Amino acid sequence: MEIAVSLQEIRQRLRLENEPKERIDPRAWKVWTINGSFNFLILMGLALAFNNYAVGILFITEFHGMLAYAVALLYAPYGMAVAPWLAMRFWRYEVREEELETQHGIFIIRRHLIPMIRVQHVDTEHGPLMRYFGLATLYVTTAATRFPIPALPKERAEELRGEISALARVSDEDV
Amino acid sequence: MKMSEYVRQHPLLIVIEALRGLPSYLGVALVVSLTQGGGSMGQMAGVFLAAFGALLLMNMLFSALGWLYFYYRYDYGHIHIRKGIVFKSERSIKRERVQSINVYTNILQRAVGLATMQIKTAGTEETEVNLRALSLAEVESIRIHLKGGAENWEDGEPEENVLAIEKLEGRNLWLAGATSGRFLILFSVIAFLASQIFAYMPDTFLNIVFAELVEIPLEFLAITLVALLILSYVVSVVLFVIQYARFRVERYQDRLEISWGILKQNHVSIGLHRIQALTVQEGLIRQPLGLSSLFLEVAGGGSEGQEQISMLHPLLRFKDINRFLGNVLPEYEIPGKLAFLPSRARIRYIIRATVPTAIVAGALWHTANDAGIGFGYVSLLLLVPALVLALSRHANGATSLDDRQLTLRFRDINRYHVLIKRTHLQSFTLNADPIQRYKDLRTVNAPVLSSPSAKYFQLKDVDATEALRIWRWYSKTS
Repeated sequence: MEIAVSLQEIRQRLRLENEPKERIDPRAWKVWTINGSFNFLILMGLALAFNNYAVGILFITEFHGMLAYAVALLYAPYGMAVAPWLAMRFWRYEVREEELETQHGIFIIRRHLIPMIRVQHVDTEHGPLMRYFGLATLYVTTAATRFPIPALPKERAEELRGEISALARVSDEDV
Repeated sequence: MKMSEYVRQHPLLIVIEALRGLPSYLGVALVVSLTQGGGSMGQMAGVFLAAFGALLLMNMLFSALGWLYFYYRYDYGHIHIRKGIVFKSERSIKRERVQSINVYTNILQRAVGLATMQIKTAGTEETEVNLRALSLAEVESIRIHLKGGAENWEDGEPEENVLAIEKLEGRNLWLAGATSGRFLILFSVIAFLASQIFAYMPDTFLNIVFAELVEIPLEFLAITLVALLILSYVVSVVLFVIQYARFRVERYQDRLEISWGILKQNHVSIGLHRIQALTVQEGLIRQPLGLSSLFLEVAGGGSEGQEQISMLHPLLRFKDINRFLGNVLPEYEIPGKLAFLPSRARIRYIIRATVPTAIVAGALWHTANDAGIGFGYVSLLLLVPALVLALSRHANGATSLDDRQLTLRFRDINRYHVLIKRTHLQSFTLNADPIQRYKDLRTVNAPVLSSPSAKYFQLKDVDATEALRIWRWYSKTS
């Protein structure tokens, strides 16, 4: 019982307080998992090539070859399960009249606060995988940084783009 | 004065432009003569002179063409440039787009009464126009024409009030040079040159020298080294003083005018609306003496812009900063009260500094062992300065908030105070890794505009409530 309480407490403490309200589309999970699988395949391919061609040259031994496989295999659960799960769990955003708030991260959580008057432009983008799932990424750009909000349903992304650029235009009195 | 016609710059531009590349011609000619010169000294000298002459001539020709095909014209509120031999280009710059007008003169230009005028505009490419040979009267005339409201002035410029003047003179200037810490750079340059000379000496001569060297007592070598150090120190101080002599900041209603230098004179004007942040730097040598220098983060302008453009003051007593700012830039103020980093953050600072150092030290020890050198463990002494730095970084990290200004204090090697107005913060970011979250610590990030690109100021392991306080201060809704 004691342990359960403290586990609860730990979980509480591992979140940041006052999370922004809105989550991104759950289909993002699938996109990231598929991306992770692709990366895993690429890593395996690299490890295979490394074993076939590099082992035996100079000081590279079979042990190093095994190590390359181990790295690829260790990446698999992280890239295909852990990272998408944590990313999904922490991704939040909130659009208010005066400002935009986003939160994301896998291990390090980053929370951004972007005032509407600082927004220079808003655009949406979608790669082939995102497009297949009907998703798009919204980019909000200030003079200093570009902030993404990934995996929004396409209509929602368009809607937000209009909304944010309208809000951004309201007050551009100072640089 | 006629303003409607295109004119060329002063013909001496050809000479000035051609001589600008002089050091590089010498270098190229030296390389050519060493590789193509054949055996004898005379042949090498001949090739050297020929290569040098050819380069100089070629550049004279190019400069002459450049001068011939470069025209400018100005009227109230505009300056127009027309240039190009085959591909002609024309460019008009409107007063509203001009970010700053800077005037520089080097010793060569001053001998003939000319100056470089640099007109900077906002944008990503071709952000500046450099007119390298204008008479001082012409510079003044262009400057007046590009100023707001100039067309309404009946005769000349109306009197404009200087609100405040600050100077750096006499003792303080020398003190600034003495504490600039540049002598180490100069020393390494001198040492490098000295080591290069050996490569060009004949072997037999070197053998004699080394035979003699064994005879020379160690004290002599040590004395030579110390003398070299002192020499480079003195030279660096004199160079600094020449560079920053007659330093002067003037505050006008809408801008700062900063000028300095004897041999190369610089005059920079910075519109107040372009100032994005103020940085107070306390160098390692200066901090114990209570001295600091002030820099500005300035938005806009080209990437070629000189580094010194952002210098607001090369040397101020830390205690004097608020008086100086009150005079010249009352928008900013060094805060009285600071919120320091919590003590639970100390261990993180220690780990951050010592772990990488320990790895490097371990690697050094290992290689020393492999090479058969016995006392590799000495490298572990590196951990001492790393630990001191870590503790000092933790002790010096602090934040402060007032109505309009966020102040971050941190140390890398030097200590910095960064003063940012709320309206100049482009966004605000809090980071926290799992351990930081567990320990209620946050990393704060404050991006501001600067040239050529944005700058991100960061302070690690701030207390979570303090970080939230900054967040709320920046947020308009919570």
